[in-house]
Amino acid sequence: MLTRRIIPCLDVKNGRVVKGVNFMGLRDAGDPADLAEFYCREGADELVFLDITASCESRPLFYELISKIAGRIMIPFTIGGGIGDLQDIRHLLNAGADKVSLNTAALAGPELISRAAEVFGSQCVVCAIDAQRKDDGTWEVFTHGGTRPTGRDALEWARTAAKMGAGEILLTSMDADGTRKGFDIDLTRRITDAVKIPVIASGGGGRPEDFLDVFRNGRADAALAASVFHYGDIALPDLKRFLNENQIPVRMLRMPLPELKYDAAGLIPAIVQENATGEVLMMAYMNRQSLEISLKEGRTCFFSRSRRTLWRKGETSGNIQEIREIRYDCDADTLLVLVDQSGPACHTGERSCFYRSVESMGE
Amino acid sequence: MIAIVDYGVGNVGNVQNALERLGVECVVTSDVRLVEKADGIILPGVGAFKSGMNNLQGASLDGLIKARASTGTPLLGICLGMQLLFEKSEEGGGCDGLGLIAGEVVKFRQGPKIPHVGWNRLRSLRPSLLTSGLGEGEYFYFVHSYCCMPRDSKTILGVAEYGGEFAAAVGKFNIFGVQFHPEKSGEAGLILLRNFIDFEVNKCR
Repeated sequence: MLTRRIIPCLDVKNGRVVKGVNFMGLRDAGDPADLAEFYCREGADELVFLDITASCESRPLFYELISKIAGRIMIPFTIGGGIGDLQDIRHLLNAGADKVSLNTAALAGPELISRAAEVFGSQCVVCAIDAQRKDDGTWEVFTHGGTRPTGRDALEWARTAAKMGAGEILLTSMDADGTRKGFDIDLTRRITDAVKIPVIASGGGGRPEDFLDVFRNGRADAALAASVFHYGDIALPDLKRFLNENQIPVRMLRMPLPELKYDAAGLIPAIVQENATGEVLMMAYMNRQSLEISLKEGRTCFFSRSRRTLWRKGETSGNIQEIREIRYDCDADTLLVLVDQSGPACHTGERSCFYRSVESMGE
Repeated sequence: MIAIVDYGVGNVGNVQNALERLGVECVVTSDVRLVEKADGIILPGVGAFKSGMNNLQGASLDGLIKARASTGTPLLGICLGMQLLFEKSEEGGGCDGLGLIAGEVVKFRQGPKIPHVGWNRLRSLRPSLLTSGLGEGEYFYFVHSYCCMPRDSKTILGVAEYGGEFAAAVGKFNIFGVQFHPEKSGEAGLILLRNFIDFEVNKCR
């Protein structure tokens, strides 16, 4: 199932992250690449960088910065701010950006969206919409960083942008932005209902409950926020755990398993021992998947080499093994699983699979 | 040396970034001589099937890639690169692909929203050197509007669910394809790329 995405947004000015970002363990809190790497480790699903640099002379510097970021993180990232034409987009994508976010220039000439989609593909064209609520209950689109009203209706513009080939919409509620009182659910829901492309909701996220709300009731595909993450008010792993517990599918980080040495077929031998007596019961193979299942379910799950499938011990016989501990050896290529065995461990009905002695053979 | 084929479809630099992180010697190229002698070939790409195929043909790379893959050189197609491994696509009014894996590419119809964008889980259907060491239901980053329909279900290594299951990873001997972007899928993506790089070593063990 497709997960909902959490996207931290970083404002970059003259190559530095603005706003007081301060995290433990960051070498340089103002370095966009350091911060990007940090968010990556924390479980961010994507990142957005907005270039709020005033002058265009610093643009080449910004391209360099993007190349540096692309070399450091392995999740998608979007660049926005001051993108005016196809040449700009080409530079940004070549530097390593995955997507570009178009705003003012797209409103001035919507064919920029369709041309960008034609040349580079819809997947990299994000249409950013800054919307403000009007007295009549509709929303008006603003440009130039939310300073200039356009007279255009946000719903109509979202539909147009989608039709022109935008791959996603980044929707910012100007009313909610900076309030930390929650996303504009009403606006988000109207837009998600109006278009068939993914919508990223932005503006107002202050508590984990706000994110739950915008996913559940706003039906947003992704949620973007800046300061709540930068100031450490919400930690990404906590937010994801909270959403997961509330049945919102989110990408959880990989389970931290020790660096085990699997063989060429991805398998590692597992010796199973009775926890109470130390008796060796059996030996079977696990792969990473069966090991994860074993850890999750607390009962052994192995990989059958003959049948080439996973098998949960005791699935048919009822002779399950409750896991007490899993150890790994000095060179990390063998597991020792301590269990409480129900019934016999061996399929022959013997308590242990090792019921025969080599010496007695052939007598 | 791994050749990352540059055939003018989108950003291939990120695949190079990922391989460099793994310390793998690689080159982004459209030079037939480099593809000719590469130890492994990666066919990356986002964009349209037809222009991708035209560009491959224009650079005389289509026949070469087919020949090398058929004689055992490890080949990994990523996203559009995976789709190009198939016989044909209905994209842009229909176009023939490399035909290395039986089946065709069709417009994604089942999903609630097209394109399918974001992190989704790979459910492994059969063990493979490509997915070795990956956890159950590992997340990968997808961006696509078309999907592959392999004719032989045995070539499907793993599926993802988006309004129904579709082939997310395929494999046939030394030829692999993934619909997602391992170069954009964090640690899980690195494991998969490492597995591909090690394929030549591991298959002999």
